[in-house]
Amino acid sequence: MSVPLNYALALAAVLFVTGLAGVILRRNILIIFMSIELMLNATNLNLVAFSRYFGNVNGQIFVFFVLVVAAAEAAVGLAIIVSLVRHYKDSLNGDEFNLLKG
Amino acid sequence: MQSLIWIIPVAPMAAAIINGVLGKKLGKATGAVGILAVAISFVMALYVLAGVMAAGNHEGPLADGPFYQWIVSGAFNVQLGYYIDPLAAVMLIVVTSVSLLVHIYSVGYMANDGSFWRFFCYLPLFTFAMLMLVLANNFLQLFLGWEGVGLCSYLLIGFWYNRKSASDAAMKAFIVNRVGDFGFTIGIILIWLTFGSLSFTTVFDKASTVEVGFLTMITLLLFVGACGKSAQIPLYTWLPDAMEGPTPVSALIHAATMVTAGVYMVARMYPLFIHTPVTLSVVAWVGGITAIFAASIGLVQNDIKRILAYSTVSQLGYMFLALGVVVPVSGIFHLFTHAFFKGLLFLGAGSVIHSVEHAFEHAGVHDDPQNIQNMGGLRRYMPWTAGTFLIACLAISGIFPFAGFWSKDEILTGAFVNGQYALYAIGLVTAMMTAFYMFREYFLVFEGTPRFDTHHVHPHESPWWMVGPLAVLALLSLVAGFAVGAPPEHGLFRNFLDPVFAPVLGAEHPETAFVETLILIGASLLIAVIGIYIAMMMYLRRAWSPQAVSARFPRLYDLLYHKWYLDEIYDAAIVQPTLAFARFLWGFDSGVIDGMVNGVGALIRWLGQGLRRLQTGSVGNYALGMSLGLLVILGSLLLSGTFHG
Amino acid sequence: MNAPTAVFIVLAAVAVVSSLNVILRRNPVHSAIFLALTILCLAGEFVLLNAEFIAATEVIVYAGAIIVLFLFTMMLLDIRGGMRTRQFQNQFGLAAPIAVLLVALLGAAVGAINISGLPAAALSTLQAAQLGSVQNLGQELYSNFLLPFELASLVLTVGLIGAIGLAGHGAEDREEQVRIEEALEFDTKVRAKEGGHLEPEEELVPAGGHHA
Repeated sequence: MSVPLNYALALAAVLFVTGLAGVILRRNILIIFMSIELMLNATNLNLVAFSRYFGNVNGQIFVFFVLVVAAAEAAVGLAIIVSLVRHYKDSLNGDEFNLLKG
Repeated sequence: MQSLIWIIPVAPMAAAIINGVLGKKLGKATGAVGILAVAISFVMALYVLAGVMAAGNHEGPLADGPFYQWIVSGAFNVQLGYYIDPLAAVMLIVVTSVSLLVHIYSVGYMANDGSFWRFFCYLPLFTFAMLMLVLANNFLQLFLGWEGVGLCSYLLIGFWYNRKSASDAAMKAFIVNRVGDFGFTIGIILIWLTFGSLSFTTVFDKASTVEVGFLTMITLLLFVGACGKSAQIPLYTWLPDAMEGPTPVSALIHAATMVTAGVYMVARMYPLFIHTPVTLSVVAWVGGITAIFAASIGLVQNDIKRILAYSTVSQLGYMFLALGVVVPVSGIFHLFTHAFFKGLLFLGAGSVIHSVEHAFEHAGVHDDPQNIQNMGGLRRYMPWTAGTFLIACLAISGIFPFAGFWSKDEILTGAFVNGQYALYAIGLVTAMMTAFYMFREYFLVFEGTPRFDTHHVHPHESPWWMVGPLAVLALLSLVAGFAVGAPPEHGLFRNFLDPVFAPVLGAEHPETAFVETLILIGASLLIAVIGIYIAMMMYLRRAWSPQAVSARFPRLYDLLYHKWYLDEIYDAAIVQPTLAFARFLWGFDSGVIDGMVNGVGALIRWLGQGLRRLQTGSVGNYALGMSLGLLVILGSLLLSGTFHG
Repeated sequence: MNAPTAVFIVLAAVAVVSSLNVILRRNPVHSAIFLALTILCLAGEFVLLNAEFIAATEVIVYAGAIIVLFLFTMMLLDIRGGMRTRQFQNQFGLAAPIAVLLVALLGAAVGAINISGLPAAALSTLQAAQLGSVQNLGQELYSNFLLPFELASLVLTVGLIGAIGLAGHGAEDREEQVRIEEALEFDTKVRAKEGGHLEPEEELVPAGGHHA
């Protein structure tokens, strides 16, 4: 095993928390969305690392499916953003979308 | 025979279902459906009677077959079945024949009622329940029919439910019957605990093995139920009020059939009652006191139907008296004849009310069409009704050779022969009162000069739908008495019922000398004639002024006129305290219980008001919440050392 | 330290720095470019972990499709408005410590993991090279994972239709616009009522409730 598992896991952890921080800190919904993609990729790294570690290809197959879902999600999510900004509020500020306030 | 018995109760039930479901569409055709169904039952009842007669002196039930497995729960096993013996056969004939005639009569009587179809749903339903009661071969099925007739009685008394007095009377009947049924239910439970079975055959077979004290308790409780259903003291107050129902209902339910269910039940349970002298004397005295008490009230009443109602209570007392002095055959015989002449009296009264009500309405007179003081001389307008009514009056007064003579005389003779002289005297006085108030009613309604404005009010004879049944019942009131046969001790009716009662009573009947019998007959005839004579002098000849008589005994008259103030006493002693207690509980319910429930609701509301602030609507806040959760889970996993495994 | 590990650390450093740029930049276009850089670094890591096919797919799907999609979206919208305002949410004071704590906890977790407890596969170089090959993956995808694979195509189709439905003809859909406006109006009224600023005649009663 050329690259130690720990290294990959540590990198994945850092990337994941970075993405999470983006989601809970930023107001711009486009950047929030990109942070989500970052988190997805962090998990992908985990999957690939364990796949190599156990010598089992299933982890990589799973990454493949994550990519598929991420693509679909990006398309739908961006369409929602476009629709929201056009019809609801001319703003990219996530704090302003609070129609569900109790 | 046995394979077809189920048709008897099922035919009216089918009619009730058809009329209940499709009644609105069928309209007047519901009457035909009801008549057809009850006619089928009547034919089947005749068939059963023929079968029982053919069987001759057969001990025990001819048929005791289950036809439906009802309840199985451990040792508790109840099957719906039928118990066919001469007693059941007699009751089947009475119920189906009177029911059939009342159905026919009702087509005329109810013709102008908007709820015609509803009436013809309840009436077959009642017939079904009554037949289930009669055919029962176990206590639970008996109770089913018992409650079924009670329910139908409630529905039919309150048939004109938009009249407050009618719905009050219906509730009164239902609630007073609950008191009786409470005792009846406990009696049934005790029977189950004692005998381990509810089947009649099993219970009767084991009756002699049970301790007498215990049996006394059971039979007294059963008699409490009979008191409620058959309107005996102290539970009789509902029956006079039940006259709020349509008159055919009064004739069928509150004169001929349902109110005799208590008598039938005690007669059916005779194998139990015979072992308990205490209960028997209670039955006899309650019956006797009720007979004279109700008759005394009947002397002064003015409502054409209420007089008949008190008369019914009084005659039911006679039947219990007969059962109590151990002449059950006479009691059942009186039940048999009474069904016909009392049914006839009620139907006749209905015919009068029907006619007078229309005549008053037509003339714009606002007098009470049920008050006999507003009538008089009606014989000229409705001869058929008057003729049949007279026959019924003669029958109930016990005039030879009408039906009541035979059966009443049988009871009085039985009481005398068995040494119950006090009860015999009571019966005799009651007989005189009966003759008096029946002829008072007859004279005030049909004879003398009309006390209404003859120029404007024109009553006329009822339609043939109504007069036909009257004629049939009048014929039966004439001839039913001959069923007793001669001599009475070994006559047709006694021989027929012997298989039921002979094994219970033992073979020996106290024989009466011929002369003694003749004297007893003479005495009861004489007393009836005296009663009629007094009525004639007071109300037909007007030789003795009724006003003068009542003025002479003002307090007694007042007491009788207000029915011994028993309704008022019940109201003060039972109804008002119960109402006060109910109001207290209502206050407790709305204050404390509802307060607690509402308090819980208010608490939740208050919490919700606080918690809704968590729903900011901002997605960022939700993500933060998830991160916090993640933090907690990760922290607890680390602390628990999961990663070090 | 062997050569692959060294390369891994260099790429990781670049990835971390550019990912921080993704979430800290004011201009979303810059964020998107840095996201692409992060993706490329990750693809490199995938190659180091013997996942060549996945690495290629990652570059094609993310850098080639998703990030381009983001950039197109930004072209459609006015992103300068978002750049002029405050960049961080109101909950910054609470969120930042949580993020830092999470890094600390995850670091502790990674450090604490007992790797030797996991059964590592001792693959030869040849076996390791074959692990992520197109042949190997294809065999798995078209045999054991055939049904999920087909479902994935369905997901993509639905996503495509959904995206067109949502964004495709929005501008002409006046009816929807009206509905949203009504909902907003109601929302404002409810809030005004709670605040107690509502005029009596504006009370929220059903139509025809009272005509006083």
